[in-house]
Amino acid sequence: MNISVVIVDDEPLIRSGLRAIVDAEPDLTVVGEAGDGAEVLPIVRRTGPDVVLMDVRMPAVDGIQATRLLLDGLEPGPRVLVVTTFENDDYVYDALRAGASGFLLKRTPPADIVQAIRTVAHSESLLFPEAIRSLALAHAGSRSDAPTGLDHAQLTEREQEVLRLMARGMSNAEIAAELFLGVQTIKTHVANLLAKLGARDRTQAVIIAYESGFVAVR
Amino acid sequence: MDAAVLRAAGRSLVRGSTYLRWVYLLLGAALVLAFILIDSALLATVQEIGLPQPLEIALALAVIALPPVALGLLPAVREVEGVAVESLLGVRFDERPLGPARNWSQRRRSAAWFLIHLLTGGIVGFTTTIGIPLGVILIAAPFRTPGDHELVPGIPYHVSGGWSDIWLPVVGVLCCVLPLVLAFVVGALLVRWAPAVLGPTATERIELLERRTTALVERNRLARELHDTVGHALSLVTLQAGAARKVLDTDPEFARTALAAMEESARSALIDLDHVLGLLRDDRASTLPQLTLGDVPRLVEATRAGGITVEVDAVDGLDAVPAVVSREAYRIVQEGLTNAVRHAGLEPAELTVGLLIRTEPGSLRLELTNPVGSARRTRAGGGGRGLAGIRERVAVLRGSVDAGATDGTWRLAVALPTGLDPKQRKDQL
Repeated sequence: MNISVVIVDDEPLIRSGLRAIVDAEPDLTVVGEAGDGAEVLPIVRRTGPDVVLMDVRMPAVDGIQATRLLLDGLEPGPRVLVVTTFENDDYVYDALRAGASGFLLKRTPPADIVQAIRTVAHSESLLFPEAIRSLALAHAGSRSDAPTGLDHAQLTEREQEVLRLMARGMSNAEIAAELFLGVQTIKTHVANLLAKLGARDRTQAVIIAYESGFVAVR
Repeated sequence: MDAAVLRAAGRSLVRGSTYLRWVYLLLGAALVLAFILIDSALLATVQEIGLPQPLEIALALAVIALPPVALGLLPAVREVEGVAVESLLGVRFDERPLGPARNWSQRRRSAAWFLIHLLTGGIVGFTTTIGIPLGVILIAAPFRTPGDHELVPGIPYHVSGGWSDIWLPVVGVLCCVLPLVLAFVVGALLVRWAPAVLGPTATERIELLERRTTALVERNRLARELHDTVGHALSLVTLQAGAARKVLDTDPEFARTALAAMEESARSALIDLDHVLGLLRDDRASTLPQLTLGDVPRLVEATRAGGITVEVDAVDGLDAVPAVVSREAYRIVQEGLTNAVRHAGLEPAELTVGLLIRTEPGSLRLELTNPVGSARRTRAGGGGRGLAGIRERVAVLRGSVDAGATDGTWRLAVALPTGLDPKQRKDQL
């Protein structure tokens, strides 16, 4: 399966670097570039990429706004992978809450960048579970709009179990092995719990799990 | 005595804080003792001079009062008392740690506190030196041979050798306990008074807060500058190097361009680093007179000198805006004007910038507008730095920013809270 990628960054040299790294992979293709969040929606509409690499800070429309625009405006939207200079950037978490599927540091080695794109495109496991956990730790309780519990979502016991393992960064195959179930069964559980939580993907579900206190941030 | 008072006195004995208060007061007592030694020598001399009695009393009082007052006025006393009061009385001042006195008002208040310390310490110290030996004698009294004894020369007490002696140790224990209860009560008063007498006044607290805010804004600015310049350049270099390594064999032309870009980025990062390090090393920036909204007219003049039309609509009474807000507002106007000039994409002669400054109850409103040319092009990289800087400043002051282009006009609107206006404040009380 070929994965198509759109790169959004206000710095042309970052775009050209990312393009060279992505295009060098046989299964990845860059189908478009944008220099600002404001230009993203038309380009994505035209090219229909699987993954958007999104810079956070841009002059007119930043990556958080652009992510929101994309995911509200398109159904199904592409996976958004936020690309940032620093890990402890408050905007990263905002972007994840806005619906981004993961984030990536600009200093990440090329091999890991392309692996992250594949992970996000297939959405079979969580990207950097440790980093998401520590971000949730840093922001837990600081949000007044955080959901207070998952009771209303009415997850089955099995789905709760799956959600806990998802938060630990396990892929569907790993969860299947852990619970002695088939991968297809796990996929069904994941799809059901995503629907119940109103989450777009694993990242969103795990963030909800952390913020609601369902999975203890320890 | 009331039962509740007795219970409170009992509780005070098992509290650690009581003993720390006692230590603080005994320190005062030790100082009093030192002063008494000096005074007794000096007073003997005063007596020998043989002045008329009123004059002699006045001189004696001066001899007694002068050394503690003079010592109390030393700036360092505020610092020393601050440490002692924080650690022994457990008071938390708004200014931490309490520094040496910076003005005469603080010196006077520190001296007053010093005298209070001596006075209360003297009382508790006196009670302690009398009460505890007395108490020990009385507790031991039943074990003495029956008959008449003297507590101190001239004060007799009788030991009968029977149960009627029971009052002696009871009073003895009370004598031992009294200094501690006194230390607890006097200490409680000192804890209540310390912030008002020794701590910063309301005005000084506001000054401290302003200084802290300014430092915070400055630190955030440096952090942002490092983030935007060096951080940005280093990630660019890393990414380009990774890409170049990956395509070195398949696309040598890209690798060549990447190397040139890396060289350029690294060089400009070094220049930026030099600048930021200069700011960190050099404290002059923070001691330079800070420009405020009152300096905006001059800023506008300078902008007009560049051929740009600036239409100003500002209200009077901007002096009342808190200093921190005023300084940051000036910087925001400055960055806003710079952005307009840089990004409007128009020739200076064609550019008209509108500047509006309004005060509203509880907030200051700034608005900059300018038409955006058709040839508008944001500078690649760093294009949003000015706006990011404005957002950063506004965030520290908990204000709000609204920026964007509509119908060919770029509008930057900033609202900064200036605290409650007097009317609102009255409503809240």
